Parts: sequence; C-alpha cells; structure tokens
Amino acid sequence: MKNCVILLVEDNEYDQELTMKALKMVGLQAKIVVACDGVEALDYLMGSLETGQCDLNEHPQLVLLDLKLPKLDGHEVLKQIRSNARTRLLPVVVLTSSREEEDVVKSYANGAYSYIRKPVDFDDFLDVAQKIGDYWLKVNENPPVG
Amino acid sequence: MTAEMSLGPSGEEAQKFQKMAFWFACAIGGIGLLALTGFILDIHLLRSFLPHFAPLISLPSTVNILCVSIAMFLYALFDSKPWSRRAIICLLLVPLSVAGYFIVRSLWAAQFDVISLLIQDYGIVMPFLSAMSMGLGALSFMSFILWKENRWGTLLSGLLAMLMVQMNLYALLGYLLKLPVLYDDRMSLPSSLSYVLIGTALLIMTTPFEGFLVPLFSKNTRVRLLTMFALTVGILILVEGMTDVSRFHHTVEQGMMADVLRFNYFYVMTSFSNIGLSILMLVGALEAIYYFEASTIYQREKQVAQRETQRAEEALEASYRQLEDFKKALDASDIVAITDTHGVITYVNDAFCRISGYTRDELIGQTHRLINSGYHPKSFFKSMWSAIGHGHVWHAEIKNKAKDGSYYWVDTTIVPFLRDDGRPYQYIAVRHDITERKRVEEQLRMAFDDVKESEARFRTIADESPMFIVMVDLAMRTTFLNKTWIDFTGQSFRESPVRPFLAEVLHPDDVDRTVDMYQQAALSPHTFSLENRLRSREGEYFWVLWHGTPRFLPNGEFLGFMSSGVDITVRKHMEEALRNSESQWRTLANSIPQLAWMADQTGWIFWYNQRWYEYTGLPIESVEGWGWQQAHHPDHVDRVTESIQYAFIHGTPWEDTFPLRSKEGQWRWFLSRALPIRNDAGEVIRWFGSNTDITDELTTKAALEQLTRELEHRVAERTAALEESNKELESFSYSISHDLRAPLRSIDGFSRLVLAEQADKLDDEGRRYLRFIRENTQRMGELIDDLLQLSRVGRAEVKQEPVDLSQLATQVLEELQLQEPHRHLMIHVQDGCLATGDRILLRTVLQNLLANAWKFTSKTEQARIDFGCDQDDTGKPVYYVKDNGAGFDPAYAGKLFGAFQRLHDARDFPGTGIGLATVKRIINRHGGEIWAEGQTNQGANFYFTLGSRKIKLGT
Repeated sequence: MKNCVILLVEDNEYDQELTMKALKMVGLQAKIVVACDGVEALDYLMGSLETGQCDLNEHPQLVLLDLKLPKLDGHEVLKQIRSNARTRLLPVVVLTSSREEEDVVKSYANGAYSYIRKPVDFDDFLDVAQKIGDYWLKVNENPPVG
Repeated sequence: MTAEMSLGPSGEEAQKFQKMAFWFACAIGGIGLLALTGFILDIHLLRSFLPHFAPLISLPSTVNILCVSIAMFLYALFDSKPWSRRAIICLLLVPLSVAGYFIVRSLWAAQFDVISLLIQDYGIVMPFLSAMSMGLGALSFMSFILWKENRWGTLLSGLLAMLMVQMNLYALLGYLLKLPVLYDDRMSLPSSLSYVLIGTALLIMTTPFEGFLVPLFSKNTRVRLLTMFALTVGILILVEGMTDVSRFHHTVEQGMMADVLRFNYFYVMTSFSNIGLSILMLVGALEAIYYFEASTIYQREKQVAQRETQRAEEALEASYRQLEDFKKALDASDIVAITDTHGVITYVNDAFCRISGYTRDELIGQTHRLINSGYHPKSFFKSMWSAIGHGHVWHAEIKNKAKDGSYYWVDTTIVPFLRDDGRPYQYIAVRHDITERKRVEEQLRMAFDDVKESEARFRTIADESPMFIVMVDLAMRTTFLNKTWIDFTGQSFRESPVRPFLAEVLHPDDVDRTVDMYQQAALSPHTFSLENRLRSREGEYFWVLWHGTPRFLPNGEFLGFMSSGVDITVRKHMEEALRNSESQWRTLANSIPQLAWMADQTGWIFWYNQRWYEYTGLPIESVEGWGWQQAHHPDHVDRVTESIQYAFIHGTPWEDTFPLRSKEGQWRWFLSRALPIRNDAGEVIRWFGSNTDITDELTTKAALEQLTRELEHRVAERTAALEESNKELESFSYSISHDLRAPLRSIDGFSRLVLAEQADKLDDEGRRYLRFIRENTQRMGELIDDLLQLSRVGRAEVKQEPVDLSQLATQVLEELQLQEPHRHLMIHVQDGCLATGDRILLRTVLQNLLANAWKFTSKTEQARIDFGCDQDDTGKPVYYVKDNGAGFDPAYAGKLFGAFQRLHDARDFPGTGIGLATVKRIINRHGGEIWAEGQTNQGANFYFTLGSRKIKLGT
C-alpha cells in the first residue's frame, strides 16, 4: 500500500477535495495526484513516461477519471491511455455523476476497468471510496507498471 | 296556192353559189399569200409549187391574184352593199392595168420597152399567157359586177371566164405533159391554178341559172347530147393542138427561133401554128353556139313549167271550193275544230265558240287543254293521240269545261288529214253536244248505286267487322246483330225487346245498367259508351266496351241506336293488375328521398317521381323523353348522354355521378343508376333509374380529405419540432445528470464533514439544521434522477420484443424485499403474463408500480401485493398491480398520473411524484392505457394494457 499513486482526474475543486478527503477518511495511504483537465492528465501520464524522468514510484497504480472535463473529455483521455503501449493496461476507474447509458457503454468500450457513479450522499461516497481502495489497491492484482 | 316554178336553181341555191364564191376566194387568196410569203422569205417552192421544174410566179401575178381574191371576198360577203361594188371595181382596176401593160409589153417586146431594160428580173415580168388570163379574168369580173342584171353583160362575163379557164386548163395540161409551150414556158403553176379557180368561180357567179352551167342542171336529152358533142370537139382540138405543139418543139430545138420570141406565146401561136388561132376561133364559135342553144332550151322549159303550174292551181282552187262547201255544211250542223299536228287550234266554228263560251280569238293558237275538264285520265288522251297520229279516225265521248267553269259532254270524232306519205298534217274534230243525255245517265247511275251499295256495304262491313254490332230501334227492340256477335254468343238473331234480349246474354249484374243507359240515351239522342260483360257460347263472361251511336233519317227523325262493342277482357285484366302494382309502386317511388324515373326501351323517359319535379322545378312537358338534359350541367351533359345511351343500346346497367340543377339554381351532385326491366323473353321493356343526392357526402369527404391533409402537415411540422426539442432535451438531461448533482454532492459532503469534524463546535440546533440540509440534498438528488428517467422515457425508442412481465415483476419484488428485508408481505405473481414491448421500459413500469405498492402498504398490517393479467371484453390482456395499502381518494384519481402530483404526505410516504407520470408515459408510448381504482385506506388497483395487439396468454 505504501508508495501507491492514484491519479484523480477531476475538474471540480470541491469534488477534488471531497474525493481526497473520503479516500483519506477510509484510510487509504496512497499519494493522490490531481489533474484538473484531460490535457493535464495526459501530460502527466505521458510526460513522466516519455521524458525518462520516470520515477516508477511516482507512476500511478490507478486512475480515477471523471468524464465531463474541460479541454479533453474523459472518453478521449481514456482512448489515449489505451492507445499508448505503456499505459494501455493502466487500471482506469470512471468516477462520474452521469448515469447515462451511453456514457456507461462508451466507457467500457474504451477500456474502462470499472464505472462508478458518485453518490450524492457523502456517507455513500465514503462507502464507495472504501470499496475502491480495498478493491483496486488491495484485492486486485494490477498489471505491472510500464 | 302560188308555186314558183323554176328550171334553174332556186333562191337558196343561188346563195349556195355565193357561198362557193367565198371558198373560191379563200383558195385563191391562199395561193396568193403563199406566193407572197415565197417572195418575202425567198422560198422558191412557195412560188413554183413544183420543185426543180416549174417557173416561179412573178410579183405582179401575185399582187393581181391577191387583188382578185379580195374582190371576190367582198362580193361573197357584202354583195348588196354599194360601197363593196365600188371597192371591187377599184380592186379589179389593178390587175386589169398591170395585165394590160404586160400584154402590150409582150406584143412589142424588145423594141421600145424601157422598163424591161430596167427590170431584168423574171420575178417582175409577167408572162404573156399570165397577163392574158389575168386580163380576161378581171374583165369578166368587172362586166359581171357592172352589168349583173343585164343578160348580155353576164353573157360576156361568162364567155371571158370560159376562155380564161380553157387557156389555163391547157397550161395545167402542159405541166402534166411537160410541154412548156402550153404554159408559155414561163407561167408558173400557182398562177395557172389561181386562174383556173378565178375562172371557175366567175362562171359559177355569173351564170348560175342559165348559160354554160345549164347542162349541169338540165334533164333535157338534147342539152346533154350537145354537151357531149362540145366536149368531144374540145378533146379533138386538144389532140390536134398537141401534135402541132410537138412539131413546134421540134422547130425550137433546131434553133430556128430567137430567144426573145420563144417567150411570146401569142406570137408563137399565130406565126408558127395557125392551128392555135383556129383553135381559139373555133372554141369561141362553139361556145357561142352552145350557149345560145342552151339558153333557148332553158327558155322553152321555163314556159312549159309555167303552164303546168297554172293548170295545177286551177284544179286546186276547184277542190278548195268544194272543201269550203263541205265545211259550211259541217259548220251548220256540228261543232267543228281544226288543229295542226301539235294540237294547236287553227280553226273553230261558231258552234264551238258557243258551247265553250270562248271567242274565236281566244281559241285560235291554243290547244284543247284550254277546255280540258280533268275528268278523263291521261291515258285517255294518250290513246287518242296514238290513234290519230297513226292516221286513224278516233271517236269518243268527252267531258269538256266551258269558259264559265261549267261542264259539257260532246260526242267527238277526230279525222286526221294525211299527207302523201301517210302522215297527218292536220286534224279536224267534229263534235255534237250530249251533255243533257250524260247528266240523266249519271243521276240514274248514282241513285241506283246508292241504294244497292249502301245496303250491301253495310252488311259486308258489319259482318266482316271484328266488333260486335247491334242495332236497336226506337221501340228498344234489337233489329240487327252482326255475324261476330252471333258467332260469339251462339244466339241466333230474332227481333226482340232489349231487356229480355240482354238478360239472356249479359252478366246479371250488368243488365239493368245497360238497359238504363239505352233508355237514358234515347231520351235526348246522343252517343254513349259503357262496359259490360257478355257471355260467350261457352258460358264465360267477357268484358266488352260498347259505343252507342244514335241513327237519324235525313229529315232528322231519330231511328234508334247502332252499338259497336270490342272485347276488352285482356285489357281489363291487365289494367287491373297494372293498377294494383303500379299504384303500390308509385306510392313507393314517390315516398323515397331519391329522384326516380322510368324510360321505355329506347330511353324515352315517360315518368318521373314527385321528388324529381320538386327538386328540378321543371314541368313534366319539358322533361319528357330527353328533356332531362336541361337540368344537367353543360360540362357534364354530353358525357352523361353518351354513357346512358350506351346503356340503353346495350341493355347494361348504368351508373354515373353528375350535378343536377335544383329549381333554386343550385347544383347538387347525384349518384345515378339505371337498371333495365326485362320481359319474359328477356327483352328490355323499361328502364328504371334513380338519382341519389350525394352532395353532402362529397362535401364531407372533401372536407375530411382537407382536414387530413392539414393534420398530416401539422404532424409533420410537430414531428420536426419535436425532434429538435428532443435533441435539446438530450443535451439538457446530460447536463442535469452531471452538473446538478455535482453541487448537491458538495453540499452533502461538506455538511457531513462539518458534522463529523466540527460537531463539537455546534449545538444541537446547528447539528439538526445540518441534517435537514443533507436530507433535502438527498431528495433533490432523487428528484433529478426521476426527472431524467421521465425525459428519457419520452425520447427513447420503444422496442418491440417479447417480454415476460411475470418474471420482471418477480425480479423487482425480490429487489424491493432485499432493500427492506424486515418487511413481510403476501406477494402473489401470476405466472406467464407475456407482453410485447420494450423490456427496459416495461421494467421501469413494474418498478414504479410495485415500489408504490410496496411503499403504500408499509403501514398496513398483512400487506398484500398482487400482479397478474386478465382479459377485457375484446380479449385484450389487462395487466394489474393490486395492493391493500393506503389507497387513494377516488376524487383525485384523475390527478394520479400527473407529474409532481402527490396524494399523500411526503412524511408518510416519501416520493418525488414523478413515478406514475413516467409509468403513464411508457404505457402510452406502447399504445396502451393505464387506469386506477381505489379507496382511501382500502388499497389501490392499477390496470394497464399494452397496444392493440393481442397477446397470447401463457399457461
């Protein structure tokens, strides 16, 4: 669990804080990197890899991806991740307010590992955060980084 | 009668000679013109007529010939005019002087002829013979013109012409025998031909009645002998002359002659052959003798003819006088008329004038048609003309009409007067008056015929008649029954009073009525008619229609009645049958709302029902037959006429739609049909037609069509608008799902964090408010979710797939049980409720309905939820969800399915109020219906159907 990095792609600053708080509150010891839009997220992921300044420890084990983003939306970000050899296996969990069937289908089609709808109730959200941390960082055997 | 007895040619023949002179002039002029053309165009053939041989005609000869021909024309055409005489003499002076000049020139040839020195051309010099002939001809013509009435003048003229002809005949002989001496060596053929023609013409002109041509017309033997003698002498002289001439030839060949002398005919004739001179003298003498002799004969014959004429006239006069006597005798006794062969009256006597009433002047020149009475047929006069035209005497009695219009009869005899050849040249009609006799005869015959014939005729007619004929006299007794009646009834005729007579043969019911009718009619005699039943010999009764006519004597005395009867039994039956059926039928036809009509087999419409007249307002007289066309629209009438005529001709049913004008002038559309009505033989006997007003139907139909079109248009517009709004809604709902929830989440999240981390800084009141905030946030989240679902239902595509609703209901209920495991409900789900629809949407329906049932039974003990299906009256499946929960006030049943409508306090039964609205929308989108039944606290039953399609219920 130590040295775990989670990339949170979220444009809403309140959501950023709540998500980080929730993750902390459920006792997740991971480092959380926040990207405020799709471009930033990709820059982070691709830049760290391509410049060679790759600190494997800094490389995220999980990406929590919102769909509705400025500049480059979540679907596009997901597509880029999957089309790059280095990141194509990276676990991406879509974490969004949308319940649209279209978004669900599209996300899975683009290679999302999971699709989770953010509950309005914070208690529910804490529950969700607990489950995400337990599952993706503890239970699940993640693909090797790089 | 005075007959002109003449030996010579008559006046007509003289004219013929003058005509001949004209043709001679033509021939001479023709030759002259040919020769002149020859000069002008320098064609030798036209001047010689014989190529390579004859000499050419000279210019003076040509001019002379033309002059003479013109003179002759003038004579032939304008003989009687004094100016023509003067013109002829002037014209003749030309050839006379020219010929004279050349004669003198020939006789004194070379010695002092100045002109011949100047003119060496032969075409200018006229040969001696030619000049001689011309001179003779001109002299002859001139003496004829100057002394035409003088016998010696014409004699001289004839003699000169004769000489001229003879000289030139020798010349022609010369051409034939090639003896130049005969034609003076230089005279041309055209010249001599012309001279012969001129001479002949002059001979004919000068002496047509006497002299040289007498032998041609005389029947006297002595004259003929003399002619033959003259001809023989002429020929002998000619032969002698020729031998002489051949000798002369011989001399010429020996060169004994000077060239200049060779051309002097006269000189040669006198110097080298005294024969020439002797010929001339002899001929002259002979001709003088001949003429004298012929003239004498002519005179004698003329005297004889005159004597014969005188004798004939005397005899004629005697017979004429005798005829006159006859005529006088005839005139005195009878009516006499004479007509020519064409029937034109040339003579009538006084008796004729008296009886006909016409004057003699009025009758002469007319035909007998003037007095034709018209009584006799054309063939009568035809036979008359045939008889008298063939010379037979004809006799007949003729009815004629006098001037005053009265008729008279004459006994006529017509005698044709015949010519020698047996053909009539006039008719004499002798008549005497038989008018009185005829009149008596006629009257007698007429009287006789009247009596005899009328009796017989009456009997024949009466017996032959197919009608019954009965005569009744003044005393009401039958006096006559015809054969038809006797044959029919089997009764024999006997005179008897009417009543017992009728009682025997009439139907008992008709006897009194019939007798009364006779008696009534007899009171003031008039015609009457009645129908009664007559018994036949077989005992059957037949209906008879009787007409009674009163009979009168000429003096007006009433005699009784004659009645004639016709068997009308068949008609009676038919009438009755027809009356029955037709009256029923007409009542029916007049009561129907349609216009109706009937036509005969030719399409002639003879009946319309009352409605027809009411509608069109046209009087019956104007619409009978083909008059209906006036109620038709001009744009349609031709088409309709054509189609109905086709039906009438082919006997096929007819149908058409067209406008008819009402009496108010309004056009209304009628669907019209006509059917043929056929007799037993299958022949069309009538047509029955009807016209049904379909204007309202048409109008409605048109309006409906218009409306449908508008609706479709509107729907299309709406659909387009809807699609547009759907798109907007789609993006809107996406925004909602994302953007509205995000702040809610923040509100809730941070409220929770405050409660968790800053709780100690708040009092109980503050914590309670924060909880309220969180609760409302929850509700708002739910609201947003439900609204999103509602909008999704509205725009989602409704799939049609088989769905097992029982299975879905079970799943939903299991989920609900899972959410609230503490609750214990009695749940019954009927198996096998199948439907066709959208699985996801139908799941939403069941989710909402069952969740409601679950929710509203939360305060009910022994809660129960039923799901199942039933069938309505039409066999359509009706699905239901029933519970025994809180129920609802039926007064608000209508509001149940409206969005945000809630019938319960949210504290008791939380909810957004959108669920049933969503359900209703889904059901509607499936083409189904949803309704609810319930009472407060007694549960609610929800029923729904899906579309109109029948779903087979599973087992």
